[in-house]
Amino acid sequence: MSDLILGIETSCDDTAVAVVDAAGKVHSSAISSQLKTHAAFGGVFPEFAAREHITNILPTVHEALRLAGIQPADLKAIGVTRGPGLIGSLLVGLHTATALGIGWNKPVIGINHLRGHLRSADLEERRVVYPATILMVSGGHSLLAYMRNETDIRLLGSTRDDSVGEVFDKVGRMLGLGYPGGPEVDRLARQGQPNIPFPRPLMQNGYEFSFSGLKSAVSRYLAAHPDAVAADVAASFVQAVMEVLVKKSRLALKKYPSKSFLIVGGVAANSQLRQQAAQLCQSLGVQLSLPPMQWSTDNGAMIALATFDYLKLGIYKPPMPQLQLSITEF
Amino acid sequence: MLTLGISTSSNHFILALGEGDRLLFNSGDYESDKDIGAMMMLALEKTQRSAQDIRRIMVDIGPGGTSRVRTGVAFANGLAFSLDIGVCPVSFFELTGQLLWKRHRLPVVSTINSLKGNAYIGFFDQGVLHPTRFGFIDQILPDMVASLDAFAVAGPHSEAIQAMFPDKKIVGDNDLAGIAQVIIEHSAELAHRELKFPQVALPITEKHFL
Repeated sequence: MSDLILGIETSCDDTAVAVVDAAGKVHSSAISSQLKTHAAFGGVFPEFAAREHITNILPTVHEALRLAGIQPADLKAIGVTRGPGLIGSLLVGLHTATALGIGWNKPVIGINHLRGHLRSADLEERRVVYPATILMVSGGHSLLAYMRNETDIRLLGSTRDDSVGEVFDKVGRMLGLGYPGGPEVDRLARQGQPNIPFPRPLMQNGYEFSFSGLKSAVSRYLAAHPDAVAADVAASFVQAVMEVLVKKSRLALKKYPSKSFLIVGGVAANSQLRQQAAQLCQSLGVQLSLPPMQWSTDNGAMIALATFDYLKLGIYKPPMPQLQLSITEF
Repeated sequence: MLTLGISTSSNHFILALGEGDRLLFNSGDYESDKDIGAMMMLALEKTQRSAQDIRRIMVDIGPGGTSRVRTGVAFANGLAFSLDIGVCPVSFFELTGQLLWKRHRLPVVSTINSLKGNAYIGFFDQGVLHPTRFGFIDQILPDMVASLDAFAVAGPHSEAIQAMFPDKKIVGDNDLAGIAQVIIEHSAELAHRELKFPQVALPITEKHFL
């Protein structure tokens, strides 16, 4: 029996497919981006995302198989994101995967997207030492969790409203930085002074996050100060976000002693977050585990690696959409 | 030749397996809460065939562009790719047109709701589907049916259309149970449309008309 899994990820706007083995070696990874399609809207437009997935998914599957140099017969199983995500996008991936499984006579397992992100740090090399605390910060999710091992997870807290990545993109839009705004906000922030006292939401509320109030505060500030220096606004906003993330991460690492601290999701690319997390880990004697950037954002490889966990534990989840899934669920 | 037909435009998806023009399996005969993958497996079990026996796939591509249509199209494309065969796209209006023409021997008007009061409107007559129109029913339909004394109509606007033309004989018919038979019966004549990867079937959306 071969030991390769095809991972398919279509929860949002990227069509991503990869071939991964049980050791986490990525034999191929193909991604079809929809950035240009959604740039005009300043965010992901769900209907158009689904339409692009249906155009892109088979070429992306074909490319992943070609790059891996394998035939479908070489696959052990197919893992496909079943949620959380956009329903139209999920349905395309799930039904394509179901059909491929029937045609190739391979099992198809519906994977929790969040479980994929958790496992992204172990792609290509083992980076995570357990027990670990994980901070997931992306366009769709913001949470803190404690992991006793790869599969035993305790959710400590998550966002009550907007995710960090979403707020970065929206502030980027307010500052006229285009889409996605996150990387541009980070770049601009490095040139400014954090001299605007934006709120630090829920600083005293354990591990819960809330970022919509901060977003509104930036909006109100810009409306009241049309001549504000954009770099200073960006720097002040980023500092406020970082203070919240780092303080809550410190709290979690102290309460739940961990050998490593893991940051996953697209916001893990943020230079200030990386810098401050490194300082935090150094002060606590914890190893910082950061997946390479290509595995921080949505990708098929993380779904494939997570699929091995399901197989190892004998957990089968049908490839049916589930819009709401907690990180503790399979 | 084993043919698979999939239609997901209407409220209940239809999965048909047939050989020649003989219908072997019609999902309408079974419980409707099964997903398309489960229904496919049931179809293969009931007909004692394997997926590899399928040599032709017909798929309803809308119009509509909704999740429902995409579900069927994604499944059909994926199965065709995995079996290294082609997929034949068919308009939902062709299927309803063939079905109602066969039943009533009248020209057929079919409609599907779209956003902001717009609708997709299909006109089928004498075995031919005329170009699909997109817009407001009351602006498009009067010209479309001006020369007709009688026609059949399917879709969510059936009653409204009957009320619009009180002097015409209009047969409202939303019984689409026969689509499985239609899709199998007409598979051979539509086979020339077959798309083979890297070409894939895509849903008809308003983008085609704007």
